[in-house]
Amino acid sequence: MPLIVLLVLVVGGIAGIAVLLHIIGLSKAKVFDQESARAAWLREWPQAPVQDIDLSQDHCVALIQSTHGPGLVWAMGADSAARLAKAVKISQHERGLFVSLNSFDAPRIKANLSPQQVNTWRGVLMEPEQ
Amino acid sequence: MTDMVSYPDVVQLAVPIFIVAIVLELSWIVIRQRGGRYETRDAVTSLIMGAGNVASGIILGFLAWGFFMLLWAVTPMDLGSAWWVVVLCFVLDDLRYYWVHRFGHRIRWVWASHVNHHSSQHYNLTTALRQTWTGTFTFMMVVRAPLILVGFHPAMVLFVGGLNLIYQFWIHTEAIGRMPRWFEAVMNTPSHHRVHHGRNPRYLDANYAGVFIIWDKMFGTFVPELDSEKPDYGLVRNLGTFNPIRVAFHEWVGIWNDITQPGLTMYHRLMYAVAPPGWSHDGSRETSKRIKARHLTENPHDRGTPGFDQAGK
Repeated sequence: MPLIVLLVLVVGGIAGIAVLLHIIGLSKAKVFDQESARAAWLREWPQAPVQDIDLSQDHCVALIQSTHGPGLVWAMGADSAARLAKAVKISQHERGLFVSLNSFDAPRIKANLSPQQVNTWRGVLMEPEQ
Repeated sequence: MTDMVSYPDVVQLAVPIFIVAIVLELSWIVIRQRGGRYETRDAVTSLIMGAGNVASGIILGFLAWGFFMLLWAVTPMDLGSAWWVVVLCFVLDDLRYYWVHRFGHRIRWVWASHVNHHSSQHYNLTTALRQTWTGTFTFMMVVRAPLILVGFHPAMVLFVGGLNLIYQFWIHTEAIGRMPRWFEAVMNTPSHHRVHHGRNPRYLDANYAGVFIIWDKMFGTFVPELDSEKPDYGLVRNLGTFNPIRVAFHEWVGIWNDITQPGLTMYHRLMYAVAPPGWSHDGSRETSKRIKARHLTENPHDRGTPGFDQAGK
């Protein structure tokens, strides 16, 4: 197959499928409630039971306090990812916090938070390790 | 010596079929409201990984080809290109695939390349195309050397490898439940391969087959899909990014970060590259073996059931 034909097929195919998926509503991010956030955490960290959960304003991110320390659960498209929050870097944006995890495979999370939550999350995430 | 052997690049020729099949599967799921899930960013990442795989083959393919032609130049064997030789080559190459795939899950250096195929939390036809960009760097091309040394032409070996890859496309679906019993007994199927993509402790390190599931049955790695336990797709620790660059290279970066830690012995550094994924010098991480053992501690009634042997592995 000529390279140019292959290129057109691949680029056109990816773009076409992306547009189709978006149009039929398959781009919505997962939103959590307390139970689904707990389940998403335990799916990845079953050995670190949950002590407390605080959901972001849009329910796409949750701050987890676990027996192994603080962590985050966040929406990855229709699914989720979860990490213990160790040695994180925090910066502020208009509606909340960016949390950088110092991890190549989970670099940065954007959490939309109330002003009160900004202080709470900052305090929990920046707390020195015990 | 058969020097002028030529076969089509079947993977490139199959690209239009891949696109049509994805649209058909998506239509089935949307209309019937069952048979799998799609999500835009996940699917786009998978498709970009597939395109990158083709590109890396075009850019780096000469390395493997040069190696194979070197072997072909030194071997005195030539089995020719009769149809039965192609069939035999296909079957033996599938055995080669089984072992490369098994190495890909048990040796972190090879897993660093293969991991991206498992990094989607979905299981649909786009997942099939979520292929590695870094396969050349695993040096698993050496596992094909015996095929060439016994007289299969390199072009034939690559041709049947392409057919193997195409076969595996259709099994990445939840839209098909189970195939007829005779087919499930011999061939790799959507059901068998769903198990392979499961992150459930029961399903870890199982069903490495490409085309023929008989290899798993022969070598003791077969686990059937249980109606009582749906596979949970993805990695033990799922990725927090859809960035294809990060998907392609994250485990390589992980190896680098681990082997360059201060205070390790040379043995530890080596093990971070070649030990099973999850190995750590201080035992702070979990290999699949430890994950299964922990599961059995918490669920002792599962001991001896598929995926868990009596010894608790």
